Amino acid sequence: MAAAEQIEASPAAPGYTIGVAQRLPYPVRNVLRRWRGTLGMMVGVGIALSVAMTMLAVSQGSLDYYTLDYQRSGANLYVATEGGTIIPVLPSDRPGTIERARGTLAQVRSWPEVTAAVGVMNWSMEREPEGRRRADAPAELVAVVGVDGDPTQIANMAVVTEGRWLRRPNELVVGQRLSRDGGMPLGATVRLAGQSFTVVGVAKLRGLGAGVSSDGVAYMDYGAFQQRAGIGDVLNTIMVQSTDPARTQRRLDELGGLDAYTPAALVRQAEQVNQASVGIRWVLVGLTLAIAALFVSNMLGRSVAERRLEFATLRAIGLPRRTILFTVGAEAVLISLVAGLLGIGLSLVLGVLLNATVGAAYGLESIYSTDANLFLAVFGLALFLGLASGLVPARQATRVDPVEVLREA
Amino acid sequence: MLELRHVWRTYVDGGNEVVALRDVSLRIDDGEFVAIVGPSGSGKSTLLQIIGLLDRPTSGETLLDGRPVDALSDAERTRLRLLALGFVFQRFHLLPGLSAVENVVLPMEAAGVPLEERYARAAALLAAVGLGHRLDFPPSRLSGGQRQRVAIARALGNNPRLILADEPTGELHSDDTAVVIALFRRIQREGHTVVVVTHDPEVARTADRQLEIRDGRVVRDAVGAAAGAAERDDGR
Repeated sequence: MAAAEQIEASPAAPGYTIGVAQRLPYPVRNVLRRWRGTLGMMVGVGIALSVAMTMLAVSQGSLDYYTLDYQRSGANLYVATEGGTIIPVLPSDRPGTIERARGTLAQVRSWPEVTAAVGVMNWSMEREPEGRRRADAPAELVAVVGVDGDPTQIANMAVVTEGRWLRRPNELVVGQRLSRDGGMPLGATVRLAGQSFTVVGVAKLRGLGAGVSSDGVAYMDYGAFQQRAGIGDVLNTIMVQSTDPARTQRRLDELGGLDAYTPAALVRQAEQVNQASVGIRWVLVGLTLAIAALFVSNMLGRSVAERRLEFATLRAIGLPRRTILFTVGAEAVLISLVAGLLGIGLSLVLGVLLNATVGAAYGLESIYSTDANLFLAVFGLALFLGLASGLVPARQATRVDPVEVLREA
Repeated sequence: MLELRHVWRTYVDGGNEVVALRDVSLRIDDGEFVAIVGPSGSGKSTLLQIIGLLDRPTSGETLLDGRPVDALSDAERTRLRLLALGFVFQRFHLLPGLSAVENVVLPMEAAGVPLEERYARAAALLAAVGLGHRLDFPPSRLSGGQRQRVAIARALGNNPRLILADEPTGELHSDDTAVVIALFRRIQREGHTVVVVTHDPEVARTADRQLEIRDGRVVRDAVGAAAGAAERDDGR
């Protein structure tokens, strides 16, 4: 009777204040209370996702390397000789040379819809050191681009970081990397192929194409270039800015012997060239995600095995299998969501580091290119795989036999 | 209310057929307090699992309110366990990450009791078992007796007609045992049917009726004063 009296003397039911978390359904509450236990999985999968996302962003970056300059240069037509290759597929692919180039260029410039046209030609010239040269010293070759026309007339084509663009035949503009690594600072005198040039600017031209490292070349007036290189009246490419590109393209076709490409056409070509490597990267991404999914499935499976008593109790007191399925499934979803966000964050940090180190070392504007659609695709895929990987452990949890487990307990 | 007709339960263990229950027939009426006693391995827990719709007989029939329940689907039997039955286990089996009140709320949440109502009811039940001041305590901060009282409150959440307890005092000290017995008595007075599997003579003496199981058979079914007398005889 003493015991009964003890219970009778218990306090009356207080007015209970329901917390915010307590208003959530049990599967969600359960996930929130167990978040510490899933932290390792979140970090592990997050790292895997960041690797996958970074691979895709670098893949996009390499495509941009081929194409972004064409889109940004301000020119809306790129002209090469018939059969020339602006986007190289094979190592031997070259843009070729446009013969009687200055006449062609003058004709293009005369068309009323053409606002500017710049011709470029690549060559290598020997740099002569100051003072006497040792007999056995190797010749130092510098990649030089002869430029016919004023690229500063086309917005975004010339990216000048120091000094100015060429005005006279004895001037030289050098790419940033060449200036830094080749000892050609602003104001320096450089002897190329028997003539002295003064460096008046550090800059690069957009639209030269993937075969030319625009940061690692010297730019020279075309007249001086022709003379120093000892070549005829030839150009590799003519970059045209036109108010009516379709009309200009028709006129170029009528001229004959030339191929003209829009930036969009060049991007399509580059995408085709990169198709194989993009495909391989997607396969790697798929494998990474599959491994992450197996990892989640395995860890959740172990967690379910450790919590058999909990699930058996829930089954015994009448909670439906559905609730247990959602309880484990919610963990898989939470892991995927947090891992996805973590993956994006880590990948962005990696991207900044890659651009600042590898990109800068190779003179690339961007080696890592973020693409919201790609990230969304990977995030969605991760969520799907998270759900899929949670399915097996969740079904295991619903199949726990309360009789067997409670007897063992 | 609950009836078993010629129930057999056999299972295979290591290639051998083990008979856990042999032709058990019994009837438990509303409001009874029944103790199932017997030595270890006699079939007490198997009987409780069949009564509690956790297990199905190999042959024979289980009826709840005259309705056969063995052929019901798993989902239907789960629903019946949720609404018509309340379980109390020897080792309490509270969910460790949930507070006392959240443990009690859980079956009510599954039954669709509205949020405010289920928390109010859970708080009232915990107060009724003397734990009104421990609502937000996790099981790890409660004594064994207190945990078992939370488990009893959980079993009462959906106001089931039948409370099933498997060795509910097996892990408790004598003081806590007395509290739990008093609680079962009170639960019975409030109109619930209580079925307890026990080794504890004190618990068995408290019951109105004792069913003794040996080798899977009901060998004694003593009601009223006879139950207590039989227990006393056994204790001599």
